[in-house]
Amino acid sequence: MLAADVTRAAGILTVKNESDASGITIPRGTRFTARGNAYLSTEDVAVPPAHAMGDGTLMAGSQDVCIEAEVEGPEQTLTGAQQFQIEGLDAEQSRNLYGQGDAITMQKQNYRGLDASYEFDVDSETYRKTDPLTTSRWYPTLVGLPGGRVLAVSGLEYGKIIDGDNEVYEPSTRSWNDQPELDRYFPTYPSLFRLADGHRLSTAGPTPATARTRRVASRGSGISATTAGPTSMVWPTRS
Amino acid sequence: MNETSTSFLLAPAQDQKVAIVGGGAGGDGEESTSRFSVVDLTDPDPRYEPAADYPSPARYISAVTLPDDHTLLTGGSVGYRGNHQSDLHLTTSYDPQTGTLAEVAPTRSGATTTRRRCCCPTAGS
Repeated sequence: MLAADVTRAAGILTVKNESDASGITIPRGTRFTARGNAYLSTEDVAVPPAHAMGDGTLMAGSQDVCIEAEVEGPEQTLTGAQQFQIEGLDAEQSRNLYGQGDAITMQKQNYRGLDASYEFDVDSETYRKTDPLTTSRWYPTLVGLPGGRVLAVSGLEYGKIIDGDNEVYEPSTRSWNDQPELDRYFPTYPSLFRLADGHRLSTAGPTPATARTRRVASRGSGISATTAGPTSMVWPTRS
Repeated sequence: MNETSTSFLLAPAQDQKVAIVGGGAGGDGEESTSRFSVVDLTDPDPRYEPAADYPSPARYISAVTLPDDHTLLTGGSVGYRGNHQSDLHLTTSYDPQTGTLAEVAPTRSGATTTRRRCCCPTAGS
């Protein structure tokens, strides 16, 4: 979103979980407060539990989420780092969960992927909204699969590469489904092609000096990876 | 030099050949390449081989495969995101049967990073 179109201050909040007992999903629209201002999260955020480090100390679980000011206007901008309270938690949760934010600004909102998804109807030349992607993606790569399904890989979320989290569109339900069994890292902007044997090929993006080619099997639902030489990689089917 | 390159399946699809054209160094470097290579995926040990030289180093080339099996290549820029007025109006047509790349009419406007162009459903009808 360009700066001229930004009406609400926004930024990235890191939600911390000091509890090693359980992770938590904080729903979209949760209010985060700091310095008397309120901000709403723009999507669900799943925060893992804290985990023990090698020296026995606990490292808080953490996950980033985008927040937007509840009301419009530049008065909602914040400079510098601050801690945010999370509303709607019980007493124990409040002790363990908090947000850490950097600047909240009215600046251009870069690399913030959308989870919006549409089918284009070539007969009526209109778009029809589908259920959202499970992950917001800035510049994902899509490739058609058998049966009208679509595989989505890569993209940035808040400026960070999505680390191997891929998903598949199911046309019968018009919904996207996370595919943990297809977990595989792709760089930004990979090109994917379906091949005649049911495989796909990817000619990868920004991996300097390595023309990387991958074959990806699509017959089964699962994929495991083996390397077939320095410049190619094969994903055989797990049928 | 694969960042901001363009790759596309050559027609006819049953030949199982993929081309890669242009691209540049990672990040916002000015360096770009004119390489145009093709890989034959029916080969048991497929490798990219030089197929033609693109007339200019280029990033962000748009590729559209036409109903006659040629692929039209157009636009892009020499530098990162068209920096230093490096938009390309250059347009070429690749014939996968003869492996030749022919220059055709240039575009009127530069269109850096317009990476997807579509073949209209009515084209060729």
